[in-house]
Amino acid sequence: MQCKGTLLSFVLVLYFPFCILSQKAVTIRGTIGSLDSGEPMVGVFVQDTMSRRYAISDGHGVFSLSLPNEKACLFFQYTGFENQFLCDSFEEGESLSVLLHRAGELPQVEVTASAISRTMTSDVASIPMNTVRLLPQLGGEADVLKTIALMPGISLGVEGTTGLHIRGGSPGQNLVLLDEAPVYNLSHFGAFLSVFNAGAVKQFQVHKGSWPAQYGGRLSGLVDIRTREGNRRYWEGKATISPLLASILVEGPVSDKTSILFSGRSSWLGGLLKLMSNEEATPKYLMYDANAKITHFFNDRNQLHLSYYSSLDDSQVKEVITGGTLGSRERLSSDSRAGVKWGNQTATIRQSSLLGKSIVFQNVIYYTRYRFNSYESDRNYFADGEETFFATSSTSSNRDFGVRSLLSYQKNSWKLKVGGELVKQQYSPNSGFATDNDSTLFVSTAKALQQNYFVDGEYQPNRAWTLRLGLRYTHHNSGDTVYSFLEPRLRTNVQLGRQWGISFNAHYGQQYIHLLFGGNTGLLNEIWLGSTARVPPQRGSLLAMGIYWSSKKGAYTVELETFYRRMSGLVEFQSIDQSSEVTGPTEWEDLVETGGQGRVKGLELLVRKRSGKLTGWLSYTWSNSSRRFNTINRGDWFPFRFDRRHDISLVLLYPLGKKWTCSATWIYQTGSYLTLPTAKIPNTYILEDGIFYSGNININERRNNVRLPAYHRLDISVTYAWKGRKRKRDYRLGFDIYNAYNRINPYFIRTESAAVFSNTGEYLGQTEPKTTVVGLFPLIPSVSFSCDFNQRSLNLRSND
Amino acid sequence: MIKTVDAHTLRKRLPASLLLLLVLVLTSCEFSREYPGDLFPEEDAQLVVFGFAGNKRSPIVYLFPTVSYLDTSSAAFIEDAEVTLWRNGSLLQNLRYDSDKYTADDENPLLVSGDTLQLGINHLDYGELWSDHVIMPPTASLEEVDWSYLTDDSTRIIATLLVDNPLSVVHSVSAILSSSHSTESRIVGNTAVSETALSNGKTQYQIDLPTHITIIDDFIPVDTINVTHIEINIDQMSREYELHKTSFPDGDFGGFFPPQDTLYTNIKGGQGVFFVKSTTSYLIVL
Repeated sequence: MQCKGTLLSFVLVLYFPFCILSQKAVTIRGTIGSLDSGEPMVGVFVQDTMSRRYAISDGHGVFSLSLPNEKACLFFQYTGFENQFLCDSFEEGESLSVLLHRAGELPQVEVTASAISRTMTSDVASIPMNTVRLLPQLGGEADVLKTIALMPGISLGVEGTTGLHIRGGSPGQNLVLLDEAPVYNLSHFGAFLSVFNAGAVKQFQVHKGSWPAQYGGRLSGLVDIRTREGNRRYWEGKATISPLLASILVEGPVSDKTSILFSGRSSWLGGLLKLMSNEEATPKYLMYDANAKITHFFNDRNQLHLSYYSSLDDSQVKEVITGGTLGSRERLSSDSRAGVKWGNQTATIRQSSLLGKSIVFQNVIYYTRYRFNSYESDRNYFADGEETFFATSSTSSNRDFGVRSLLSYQKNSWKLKVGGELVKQQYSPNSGFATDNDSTLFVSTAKALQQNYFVDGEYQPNRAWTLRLGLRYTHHNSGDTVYSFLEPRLRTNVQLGRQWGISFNAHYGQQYIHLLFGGNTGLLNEIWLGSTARVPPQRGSLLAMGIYWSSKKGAYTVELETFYRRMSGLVEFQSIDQSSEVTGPTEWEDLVETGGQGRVKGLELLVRKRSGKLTGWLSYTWSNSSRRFNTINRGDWFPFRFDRRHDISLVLLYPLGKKWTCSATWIYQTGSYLTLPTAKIPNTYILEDGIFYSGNININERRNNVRLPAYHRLDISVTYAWKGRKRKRDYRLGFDIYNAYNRINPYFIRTESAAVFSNTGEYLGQTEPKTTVVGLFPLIPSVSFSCDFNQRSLNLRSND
Repeated sequence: MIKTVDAHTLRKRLPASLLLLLVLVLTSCEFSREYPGDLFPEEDAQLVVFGFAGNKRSPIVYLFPTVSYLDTSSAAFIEDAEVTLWRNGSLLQNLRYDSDKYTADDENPLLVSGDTLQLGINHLDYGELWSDHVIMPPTASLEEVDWSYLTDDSTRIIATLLVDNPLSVVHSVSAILSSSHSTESRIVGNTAVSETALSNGKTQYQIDLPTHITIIDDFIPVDTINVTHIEINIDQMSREYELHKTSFPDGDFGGFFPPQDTLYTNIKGGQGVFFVKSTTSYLIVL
């Protein structure tokens, strides 16, 4: 670091005379890629060290920067890559192509994208993928969504789930994009693992505050995940084995201009279950996800990306019984099956062209589908030759087809993005059938057509102040009604000297889609529904203010941000009599409570140590999130189920020599809420006039009236990386310990009491009930192994 | 074949075996602990009322306190309360405690459709409680009754009733079987009632009734009664009981829909329900 600093000073001193001789403002643009693979690099920090103006490369590795002088010294920085300087005299509209070197053979353990920290936008959270892979994980499987929850303002609902709660919002209020296509369900393994293969992910960002105007349709957070383009220079791959999964990734150039990437993961669990099966019961489990991407560079000015993603979880139990009777009939055999399966599919075509010197034209066409199905069937074969069959099935699905065009223009201190989007949506909330009677829970298959138009302007008049104003117009037509709104966004950063900065964010948006969870106990059955005349869209606004401090050399940074948000039009399932079945066709609007309100206030602190051997961060969130529905909790405000008053994450990374790296994370969260009875009407056994009043009725006076015990956990990871003999392969062995001190964190609670009998067998009553906290994951050690193979190392070997 | 393992191999295998054993032990045990404190909220006990009045019988009122969720004891009926029944704003009856419940000493006053009834309770610990006003529903309009022995089976009869426009939801049809018309030998029999809504607003009920009843004591048949009288009752209840019953939350914390968190009560300051019912009776003498 010292050496680099001295070098930079030397360059600046030499360069200074040139700077004062010319004062002509110019705008330059360029593409940044990896020298190693040729892939475009997203999120690279580019700064003119003279004027201190900066830019960040976009999803295509493209940056644009306005310089007050034609002489400038550009500084390129990205975690895991060597810093690069480019000092020269630039012309108006000049296009650059910059390639960055990987920094050494071991991944760096810097804890966050420096580009993000340098721009003082703490409303955007991101963690470099090489850091994600070094952090301890459940079962040794890197998980981007669980890792991002280590940042302030973001948390996971319950242990073992992947539903993100961003600034007190619910998981259904997040827009999760994979290569620009929305992904609706994020869970594998019944929500223990997210559906995104970390090996294929190039970069991800979570926008917690004011989003870019080109995105909308959700109230809480934007999770923008981009997959890698594939190596343009040589073929390479990676195979990984962990206790949960096996995965493989292959990428390489098809031609000089085209690269391809394929990755796939599948679980071992299906094979293990097969071993456990016997003649009577056969469990089956299939889980996979696959990413494929083709990138074609027509020339320096035109690119085309085709990406496809598919995921599936399919579990079934088949039971075969031979012989016996059913009622009074002699049965030869029966075949019963019950199963559940769900999955996503997305496909994206992205094209970008550079028109003239400073206009970028991008087009995106995407398709996404999520489907959930549960089924049960029972077939009986009788001795008299007859056969009976009974089956039930329930399916919910939704799909989007969208087209988006975006024109980006930059001139001097202005950046302007203008565009439009057309989205066709279809929801089939839940349609079911049974062979003996036609029954459907929800019948409304809704369609909607959405038109969105947006303009996003960024003004950077000087090195200290950046102002971004966005406006989005949305027009939602659901057939029976039309909603139109204007959504303003504002973000501004002001740098106060070299070490301090402040920021302010404001965001107002609509959400035309509602997520309902079927069942209280799990998050499996997600039902997405579009707004209708009876169920209007959700609306929300957010205000956030932050202050930022950086030590002189940037080794330590502190970010403090406070926010306040309001929401309206929230939706929840109605409370209905559990014993009564919903029979016959029912409009889904009849089963939900509408018009809910939400309010959240919070304070977020992020302290980072970004250099030295020991790196890491401490994040702390204080928040208070509550909801109000006219028909719930007597119309009073009640706490949001996942309101975590205090949420602390401590992340430490430490390299031990050249081959070993260790890391640890410690998480503390105030317990989530639960609705428990405040009292009970006791057993009465009253029988009068044929009316039996048994009693034993819980009195639930208040929604979410009990806070569960706090959640805390320590995870440890040690990684050993080495090269194979004669550099044929790169190997990595990871040892992870999840929940190192075996804390029993509450997953659910139960009460138990036992019957007491006298010596003569007389029933005396029940023992005093005990409350038991049941945890999900105890201490879980795991070992994962990965092998990187590439043509380059084979070439090196032959050169040796 | 016996395979021998040398000490060196054993030392190499031991750590892996121990690790495997540790994993097996950890995953095979249930991962739970007893919650040390009081997780369930404790609130002051409230008075629960279960009571009703009708045109065919004396009012019945049970009083008992709520208990904490973890309390498994049965209801402790309260006997030192002052319970009054009011009709159309005037005191109708003072109820007295008798065998767990409060009922009236005097003859049952004639309650008619449209009467507004209210229950008043005064207790030293729970203070003064009043029910909401409940309105006596109309009696069912029984237009036609017909009965006959089931074909080829003299042990069962089928009674058919035609009722004009019964109150939807809050009505019930039951039968009292006896060997005489004295109340002492009455038995509420298990009857199968089928209901058919006719297009003219009328509803037809078919009741399948036995003509012999076997009395069972401690799982042993002790007597058989030949049924000579069948009293068929059609109750039309005010909606409060149905509202209360359908608001019962699920005992479990799971389920597709969230648990109900508002238990219906029409007792101000307490829990439970007070309702009224109008009964129409018809006697069949076999």
